[in-house]
Amino acid sequence: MEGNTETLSATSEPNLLSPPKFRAGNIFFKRFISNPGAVVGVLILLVIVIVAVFVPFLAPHNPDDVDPIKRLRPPFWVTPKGSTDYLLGTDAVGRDILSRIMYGARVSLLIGVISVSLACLLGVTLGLLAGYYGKWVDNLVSRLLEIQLAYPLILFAISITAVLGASLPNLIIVLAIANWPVYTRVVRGQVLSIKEQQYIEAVRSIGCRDYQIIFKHILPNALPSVMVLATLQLATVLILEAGLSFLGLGVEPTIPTWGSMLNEGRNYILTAWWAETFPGLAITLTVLGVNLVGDWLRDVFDPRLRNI
Amino acid sequence: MLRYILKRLLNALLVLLGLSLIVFITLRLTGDPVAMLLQAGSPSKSDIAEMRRLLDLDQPLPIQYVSFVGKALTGDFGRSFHYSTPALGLVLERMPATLTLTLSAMAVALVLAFPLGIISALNRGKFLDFVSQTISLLGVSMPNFWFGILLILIFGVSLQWLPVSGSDGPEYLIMPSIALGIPLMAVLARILRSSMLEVLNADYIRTARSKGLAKSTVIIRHSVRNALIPVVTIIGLQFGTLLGGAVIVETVFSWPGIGRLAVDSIGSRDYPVVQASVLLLGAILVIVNLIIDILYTVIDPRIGYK
Repeated sequence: MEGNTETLSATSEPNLLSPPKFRAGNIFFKRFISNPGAVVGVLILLVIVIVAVFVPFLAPHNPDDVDPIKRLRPPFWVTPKGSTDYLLGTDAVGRDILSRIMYGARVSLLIGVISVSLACLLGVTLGLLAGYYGKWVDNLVSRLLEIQLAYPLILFAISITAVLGASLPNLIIVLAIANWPVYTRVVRGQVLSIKEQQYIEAVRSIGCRDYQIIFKHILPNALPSVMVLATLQLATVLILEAGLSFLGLGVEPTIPTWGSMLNEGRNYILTAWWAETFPGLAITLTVLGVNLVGDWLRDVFDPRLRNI
Repeated sequence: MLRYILKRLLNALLVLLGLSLIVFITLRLTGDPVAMLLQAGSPSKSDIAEMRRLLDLDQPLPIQYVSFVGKALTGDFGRSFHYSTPALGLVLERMPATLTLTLSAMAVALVLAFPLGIISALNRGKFLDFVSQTISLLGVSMPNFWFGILLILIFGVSLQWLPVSGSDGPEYLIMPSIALGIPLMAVLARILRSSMLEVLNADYIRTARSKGLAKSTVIIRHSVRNALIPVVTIIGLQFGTLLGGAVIVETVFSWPGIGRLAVDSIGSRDYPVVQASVLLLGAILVIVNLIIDILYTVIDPRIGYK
């Protein structure tokens, strides 16, 4: 009898004492799967990240191997000179374009992710301080923001690069300094509305210190917007990095990046279209992936950011 | 209204003053222009001192800055170290080329974005929406200078329909303005789509439809007009991006604008020219944003000024 009861409760009766848990992860996954754009975006980024991480094992050639005899070879499908040894052809000094694009993914993603994180850190901190303390702090930050917005981004980046010199760390710093205002503006706006909420008044009345209120109670509420914004900004930064490298103001010439490949290929545009086309396609595809994921994150977490 | 404009103008002056300080400091850190100018030969100490005096570089930095701002207010940005002509004159000479390029790019963006955004919103979830959204997404994902190079490859090199560089006639403007305008077109079409979708669900649109108004009247007079506000805001915000983008696009197409002049001048540490270019571009940006703010009242009379 006892055994029967156990069997019954295990198979047919719902267990009322421990109701099924609300699984946010499941809902998130279902929404993700039902959005083809997001799936395509994640797949694109996944492939690029895998290439960037495992490039030493995946690249068919050393990206720096110079071979003047094999210079300006076309992609494999262009007969008669194209060969499967160099699937996407070679550049002006005989380096394999596919391998350089694969190594370029590593550098470009590194620059993008680190500079977006730094800009985010600076921008969010200033936004929190300006929104929370108001008065002269807000005035100072707002004026700085307006000045930065009046300085055309690319000219700003060029003049800073001229001061610091063209190198990988300097490029990251330039991109970070150039992009903080967008975070500050959004976070400041959010703090202004969050700090008027009753729960903030409540934690203040129980004696919480300013830094506790800012980091424990205000920041978590502003984080979804910041995350969405950071994803969308990654796309902007990737394009800006390519632009600076294209002008010769990016990283050292020895490091392969997509922008510097475009810069080098520009001189052979009439004879070797592939040297210019494929690095640009790599940038476009990556930015497309980032935008698709960013758009989806925005629709899920913060549709108000649509106009930013 | 007048008080609001005056307040904004005063604010704009403060922003430009701050901008001038940042540009001044940044450039002073880039290196010694005298050393660069006199690198040919072996200049004596007295030559260097004389050069510094001639270029007003022998004074302490704060005095140099005050003198720079004082003169700039009267339109004197000093003489170019390289061309030995007034810096402002050099920049103003290039201004029409940059403004022509920027405004044509804006026109390209608007002309393409409106049909794209509206068609997309009216056909939500259908094939046309998918096509239009794909075009917009590709537009924001492509670096404009690379798109410019593709245009050169297709229409300049292969088909030979358009000239690849220079500025000798209106046909020279076509490719650079398309290259510069396409990313803005994509941004505007996306904003217009989402803004139209919001408006199309509004009660007053249902009322307008139920009154029996023609579909075109409902779309153009009731929906598009109300969907315009975010679009106008974005145009203001994107104007800076457009001016910045012009810097690279001008380089690709050898377009003789301020952008190229500024890039070359930063490389050769021609301070007066860089200062004049950045401040003029900054002033244009500030003024455009002021005009946009005033335009809001025309589009939406509910917006007041405090």
